[in-house]
Amino acid sequence: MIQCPNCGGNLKFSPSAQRMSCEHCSSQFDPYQFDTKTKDAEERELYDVTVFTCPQCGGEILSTDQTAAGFCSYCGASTILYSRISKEHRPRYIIPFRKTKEDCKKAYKNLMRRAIFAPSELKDESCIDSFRGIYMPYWSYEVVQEGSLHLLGETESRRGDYIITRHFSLTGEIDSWYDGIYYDASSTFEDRISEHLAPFHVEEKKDFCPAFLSGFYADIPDVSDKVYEKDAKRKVWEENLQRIRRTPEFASCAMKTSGAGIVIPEAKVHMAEETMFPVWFMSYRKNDRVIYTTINGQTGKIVADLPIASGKYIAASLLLAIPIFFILNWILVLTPSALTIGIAVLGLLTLLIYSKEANQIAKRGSLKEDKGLNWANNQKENNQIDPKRNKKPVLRAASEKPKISGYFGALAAIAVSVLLLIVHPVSDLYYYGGAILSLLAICFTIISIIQSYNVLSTHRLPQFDKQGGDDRA
Amino acid sequence: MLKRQKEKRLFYQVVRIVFAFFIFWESSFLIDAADYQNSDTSYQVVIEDQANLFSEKEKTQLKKEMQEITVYGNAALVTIIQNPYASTEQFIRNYYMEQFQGESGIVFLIDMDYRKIWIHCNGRIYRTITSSYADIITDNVYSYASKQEYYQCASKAFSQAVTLLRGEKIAQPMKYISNTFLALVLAFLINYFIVMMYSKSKKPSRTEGLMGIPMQYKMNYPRSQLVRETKRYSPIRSSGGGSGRSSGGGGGGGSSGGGGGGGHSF
Repeated sequence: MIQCPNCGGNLKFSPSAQRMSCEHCSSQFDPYQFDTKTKDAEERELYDVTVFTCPQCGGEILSTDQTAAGFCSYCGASTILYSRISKEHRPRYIIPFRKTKEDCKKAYKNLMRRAIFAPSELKDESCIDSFRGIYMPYWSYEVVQEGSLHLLGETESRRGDYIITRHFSLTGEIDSWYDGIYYDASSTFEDRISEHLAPFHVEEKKDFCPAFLSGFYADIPDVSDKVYEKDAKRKVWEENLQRIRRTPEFASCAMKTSGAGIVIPEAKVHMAEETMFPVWFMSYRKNDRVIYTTINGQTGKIVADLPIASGKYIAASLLLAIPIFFILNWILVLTPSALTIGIAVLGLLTLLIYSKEANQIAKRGSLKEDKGLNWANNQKENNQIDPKRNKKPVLRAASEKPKISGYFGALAAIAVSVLLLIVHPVSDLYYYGGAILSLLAICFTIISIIQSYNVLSTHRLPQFDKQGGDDRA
Repeated sequence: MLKRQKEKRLFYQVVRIVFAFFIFWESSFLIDAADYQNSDTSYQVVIEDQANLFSEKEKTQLKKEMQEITVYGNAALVTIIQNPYASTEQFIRNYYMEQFQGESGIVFLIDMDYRKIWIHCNGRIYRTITSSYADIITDNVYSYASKQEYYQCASKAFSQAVTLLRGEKIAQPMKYISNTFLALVLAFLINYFIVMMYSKSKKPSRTEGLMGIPMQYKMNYPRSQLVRETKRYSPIRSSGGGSGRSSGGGGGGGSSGGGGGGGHSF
């Protein structure tokens, strides 16, 4: 706890004032005033924090406060977190929170007002109140790409019955520098969420000082800066290429960027600095799933994959069917056999959607896309964890698989329709019976898609490889 | 072997044409002997019961019912026991052209060969009784044909046609039932896309992602130098004209005429 020099009260960092503010006497101070650096070089690299551990999932967060709210941000459990005093590696920079908890609640309420299909529990005041400001560790790369560039270009024009291709040699000296291409350095923070939270205004970063953490929490970095180096370089080259294409001298040409004779200077990472980025974090636990909502603590951008309440979805679909019915009556008369063909086509479309969604679940469930988590798990498996830097427990990867049964509905609808078209019964009743069956089968698949989407938008209860994690969860 | 098959196919083709000619000759004969002709409009009522589905009394009754249609166009009731064409629709189109040419009219056909009933309309009547309405009417009356109540079937069909021509409405259960099912499936799918649009968080573009990052970019001495020129033969194709071989295309099915209709199995 940082004490107020005037009254001894608890000083917390105020995002609106961008200063330390006393809860009791409202005095305000410069955060750097409370930075106590020692002369010892090794000590200067560290700072004192309280590490809070969840007894249920084993997740850890840290703060300069000794008191922690009675719930876990990882698994959403309402529980008293164990705490211990620790020395942690000092990050180089920090982007202080600019958005207050009130701003963040307002943004969330706005989102929920539009989210008519979201479960009602997510709109509860207690749920909204559980937002917690967490500084997430990021790697901030300084990338430089400079040197001679040689690309090939072509233009095409027509002259009579001939197409004339003019081949150009495009040369220049590229000189580019990016300070702060960022990737999250925490294996527990999903790469996808951190990508969606962008942009952060890195130019507002400040030298790190533990006082900024007062009133907030911080996650512990456990992913090496080497993990995202290639991504940072690629991002710089892609951005530069877009700018190169806009160069007036080259703009008329279709550009070739690979092949013989092409010279592209290599993008180089000059430096990777550990920087804390501000994120408001809400975790809501529903049965064995956790819903995460995150808000960029600097810009207020909200990122949430909201689950869909099946009941609301069905009710809304039935309501939507009414205007569609009237529009169809206005424009369309379908014979029963044409209806059967139409339902077969829609069944096929449903099947394709389900297949796409199932692929996404399998891809995301395998966690192959999360480089940070994969790296941390590999390190753990190979016992290559640096005990000095990586004390943090690693999130256990657990794969998610889509339900196979979802395919059956749409397949059954197609099969019924095809059978009817082959048998071609006289009575309309057979077609209508088939349409009812197909409708139910398609609805089953769509509900399965919704359930699959809910799997995608929520997360399994996190389990860390540390004693205390609840293996049953 | 192949030659034999060809000969056989040719023989059947000739038989079909002769048969079709016979039918139209017979129907042409019947035109001359129209069952009724409206003195104001000159439109006719024709009943041609080749399949012997109606009694004389029923025919007289049907003729009376069909007379009202002659205010708007010709009306014909045809039953056949054998159809020399590939489909009921093909037969009725050709029949219509032979009987009424381009005039306004309606033909109701009971095809005992393909077990189908069909309505074909043209001209002024077709503007009211469109193909969709033809589908609706035949759907409303096919069950009578299934029960061999052919008089009821034809009578109801013409009565519904008259109702439509008067500007009144007829029951359309097929339309409402089919559209209900289709609307439900479409609603579930459209709603899915709406939900996905609003529920999934969106990834910022690369340019958006780089906003707020201090950066510097310069392209010094940009130079574009022509190295060589190549040419490829690619003649411009004219969109008009066309070769002599394809000039014979189009114009097929000249006898099919305009109008349209719809039908139902029974």
